[in-house]
Amino acid sequence: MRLSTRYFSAFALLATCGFVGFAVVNAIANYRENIEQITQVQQAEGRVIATRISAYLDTIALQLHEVDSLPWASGLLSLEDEREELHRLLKLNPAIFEIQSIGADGRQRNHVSRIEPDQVDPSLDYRERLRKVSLPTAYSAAYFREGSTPFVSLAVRESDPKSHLLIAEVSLRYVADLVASANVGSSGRAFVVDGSDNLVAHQNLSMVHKKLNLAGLTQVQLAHAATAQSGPISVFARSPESDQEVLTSAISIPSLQWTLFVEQPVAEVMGPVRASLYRTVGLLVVLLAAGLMVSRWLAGRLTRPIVALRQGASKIGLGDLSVRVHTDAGDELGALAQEFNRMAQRLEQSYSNLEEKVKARTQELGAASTQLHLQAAELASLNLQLGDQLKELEKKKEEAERANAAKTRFLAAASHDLRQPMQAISLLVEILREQISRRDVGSLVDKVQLSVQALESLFVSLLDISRLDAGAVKPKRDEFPIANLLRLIEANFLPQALAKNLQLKVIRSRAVVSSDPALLERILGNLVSNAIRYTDRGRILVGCRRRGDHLDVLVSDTGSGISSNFHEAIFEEFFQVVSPARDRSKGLGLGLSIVKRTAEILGHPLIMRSEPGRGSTFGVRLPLVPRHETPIAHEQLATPDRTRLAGTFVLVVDDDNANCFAIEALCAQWGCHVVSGSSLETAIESLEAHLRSPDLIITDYRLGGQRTGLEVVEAIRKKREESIPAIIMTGDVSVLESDIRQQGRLVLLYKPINADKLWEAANVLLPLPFDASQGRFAKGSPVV
Amino acid sequence: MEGAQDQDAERIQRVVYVSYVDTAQDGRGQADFVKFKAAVERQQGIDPTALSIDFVEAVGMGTAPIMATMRAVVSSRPSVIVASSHVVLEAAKALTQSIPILFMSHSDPIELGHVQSIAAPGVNRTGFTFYAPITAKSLELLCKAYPSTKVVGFVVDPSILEQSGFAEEIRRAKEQLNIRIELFVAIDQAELARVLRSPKAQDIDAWYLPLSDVLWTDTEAAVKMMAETRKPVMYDRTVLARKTGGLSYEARVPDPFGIWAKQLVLILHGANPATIPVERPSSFELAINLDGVSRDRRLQPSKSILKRADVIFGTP
Repeated sequence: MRLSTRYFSAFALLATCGFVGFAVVNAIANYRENIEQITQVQQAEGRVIATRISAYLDTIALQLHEVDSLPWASGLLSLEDEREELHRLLKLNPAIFEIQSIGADGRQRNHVSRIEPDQVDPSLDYRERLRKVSLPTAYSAAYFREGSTPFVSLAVRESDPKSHLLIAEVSLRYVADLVASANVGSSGRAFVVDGSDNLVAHQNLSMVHKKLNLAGLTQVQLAHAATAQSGPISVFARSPESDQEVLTSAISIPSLQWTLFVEQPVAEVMGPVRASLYRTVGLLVVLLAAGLMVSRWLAGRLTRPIVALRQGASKIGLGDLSVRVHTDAGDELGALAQEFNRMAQRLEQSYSNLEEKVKARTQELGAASTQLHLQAAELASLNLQLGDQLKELEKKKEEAERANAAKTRFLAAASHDLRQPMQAISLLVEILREQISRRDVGSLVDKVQLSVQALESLFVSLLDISRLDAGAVKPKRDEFPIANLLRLIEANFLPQALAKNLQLKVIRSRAVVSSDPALLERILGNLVSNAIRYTDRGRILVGCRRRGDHLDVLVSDTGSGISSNFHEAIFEEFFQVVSPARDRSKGLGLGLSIVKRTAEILGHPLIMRSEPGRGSTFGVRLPLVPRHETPIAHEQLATPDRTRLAGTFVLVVDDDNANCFAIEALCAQWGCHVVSGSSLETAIESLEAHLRSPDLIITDYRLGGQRTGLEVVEAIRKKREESIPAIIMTGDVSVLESDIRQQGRLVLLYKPINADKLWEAANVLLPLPFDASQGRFAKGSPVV
Repeated sequence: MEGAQDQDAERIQRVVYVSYVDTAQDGRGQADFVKFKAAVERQQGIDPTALSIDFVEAVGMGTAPIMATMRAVVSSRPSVIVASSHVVLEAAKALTQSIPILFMSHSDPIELGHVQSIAAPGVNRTGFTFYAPITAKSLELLCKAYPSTKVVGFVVDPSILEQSGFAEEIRRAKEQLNIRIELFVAIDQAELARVLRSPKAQDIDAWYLPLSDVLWTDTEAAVKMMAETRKPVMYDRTVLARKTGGLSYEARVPDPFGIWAKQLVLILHGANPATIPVERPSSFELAINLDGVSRDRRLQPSKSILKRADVIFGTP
């Protein structure tokens, strides 16, 4: 809300409250004053009339007393004299219609009348009335002579017992005239009731002729209840004439025991109040209008300097520093305006100085800007060149990626196509070595076997690289004791170390780590294999070290060490440190590359410390699972007992006849009973000749007719209604272990597969010895 | 405009004041109308803008002209008709029983059938009357003024003889005053002259002439004839005593137009005329004219009457 509006509202509210309050108080006061004035007027008028009535009748009574007080009993005055006196009274008072004189004996002495002849009736006896009449003056109740005109009998008697009683019949028409002369507003009325509450006079003569008794009227009852000291009373009551509400004042006439009432209709009484109210309302409207105008003017006058200041401040805020506030107020606002103007002047001066400085700075900035524009142009030129170079690089990168993809595809295809015959050779050499008894031939077979193993190792490495490049490796994290893995590493590499007269020492740990056990085995296996490969003497130490919430698994050797110049290069593919000339006996130089890529997939940092002549330490940092410890099992690694599978019923399925024959022959060499088929149908046909279900299924993954080894396993399991353990062999790196494992009791082996791997897998699937008596493996075989 | 005028016409109450004169250019009726209007205007509770008082003058001898005039008046449906004379009242009575009528009467209105009672007329008529049973009182005053009076000649018109109370009043006067009353009937000056020339008139000690057609039609001639009898004469109108000498005892109705005005206001305010009492004389006036006394000492009234006189005209 604006300030002027607030001021205006406050002033208007103040003025309105004041004027309305004044009007209300004035109206109430006017009402009271008006009622009081009217009652005073009524009472004053009533007193005047009452006084006149009283005086009128008192005068008659006095005249009667004058006559009555004459010495009638003295004998000096005759009856004729008395009659003349009575006639004189009639002449003096037109209201007296009759007078009769009653002697002390109760007999009528004289009787004068305006209507009747002056006849005395000696038969009338007034003795009773003489006794009852009160002295000196008595008024009778009003009565109606001939039914229309009200009269009252006025009796006077002196205190002398011998005095006469004068009884005058007085017409109240004259009293009515007095009452009619009452001036009480435009429609007011006056009336008189006697001591018996009979209406004896009224401004409306017809009311009198109705011979009303008004004892039931509120004002009459209140008048009776009022005492002489309480004076006149005024009340709101009902009019006897119209029954409308009137304001009535009652005035007592004590000498007659009459009461005079003066009344005015409430509508008339309230007329001045209404008029006053209308005047007050009119005045209130005028005052309110004037008050509102004055409030508006005053609010405007008060807020004008403030508004001018606000507008000035606003203009200054918009940058117009030349604005000045002009006000003729000589008060604090005027001083404020002057101060404001001085401030604006100072601001204007400061702004002027500032503008000059800004102009100078702007010129400087202009020069600098020109310089910058030139530099920007140069940068733009350079950017263009860089863009061209980036495009060139992008193109080269795309070419490199395409080359890499081609390489990957080549490696995958080559490894798959070469591993099939390589696996057959490996299995056949193993069989051959077992069956050769000649020593010289045996030595030759061993050499062949070593060459085949080296070849297998090369293929495995190539296979791993191609799988990693193809993105086929998806880690499956698990929490497992590291001790199991270390035990497997020791079992796998101890023969190689012993073969090189190296000591392989594996230090056990109870830690539980979170990782993919298969991928971690490959990392550690590569590190241990490398250590054995590049260590000629001494030992290989595999151990663990806790680092807070991590566990470092380290492989240390006593080899020749690696110069720091090669610390990064050794993780590149096909890089070998020891001999610049490629030493194929030490592999293709893919081991650490596989380690690096696998560790990146798992998110495990690699550790490497190596100096020439001081050996090397490679390791990987694993996340520890808190508060999980496993007991260390000190087991002696058992020498493979190839005879424990003797009696096992094995089904071999492979569409490659050489491979099928080699596996069949190897299993038969282990003492197994083997049946085979090149497809699912031939395998089932071979099984039909046997009542016994196979204990193990060994099948190639890719079979003819778009069928897979997995489908063969599922079909045979379904047919035999048993979850028969199975080994699936594949050279296709796109086949995922996770897909195969979902089936349960399955092991996926990537080709080439030698006899040891196959036996190891069979040993995992059939860990319990074959129970020949039951013709089956013992219960509790683990589910892989 | 016409609708507004109709509404105004409905709002305005119309009063018709009907005067009767024998001949045109009389002027007395118009003068009385002016007094009446003035009296109405003095009343409180009257809105002058809502009241119309029309003056209608019925002219001509006989019943037909009056009836014609009154038919026109009644057919105009006024709020109130003011009948300023006996003949107008009789015509109005014959024509309407609903329109309020204000009347004046010199005779007893009950006897004439104008109202059922003085206090409550019971019909659509009210007003005032000059009638009061003061015949005996008048004769008493005549006898007191001239104590030697034994025979009183009473000149009346025939209508008085038909009034039921008249005979009783005469009888009571005879008993109370111990006098002889001779009745003479005269309806015009000729008959009055014949009465005065009659042998019986020679025995009359004093005359009593209440207001009748004889006096009404040619007052000057009638009072002159009575003065020529050189006998005391009692009238019942002060004005007659003032003109010709003799005595008068008059029952007076003070401010008769004021009475009409008050009764009119009551009627206009909704009062039923049947409930508005007829006003009666409230004062009585004894007048003596001493002009003839100087010519004939026998006409000098007694001292006691002179003392009681309310009005004395002339000088002895």
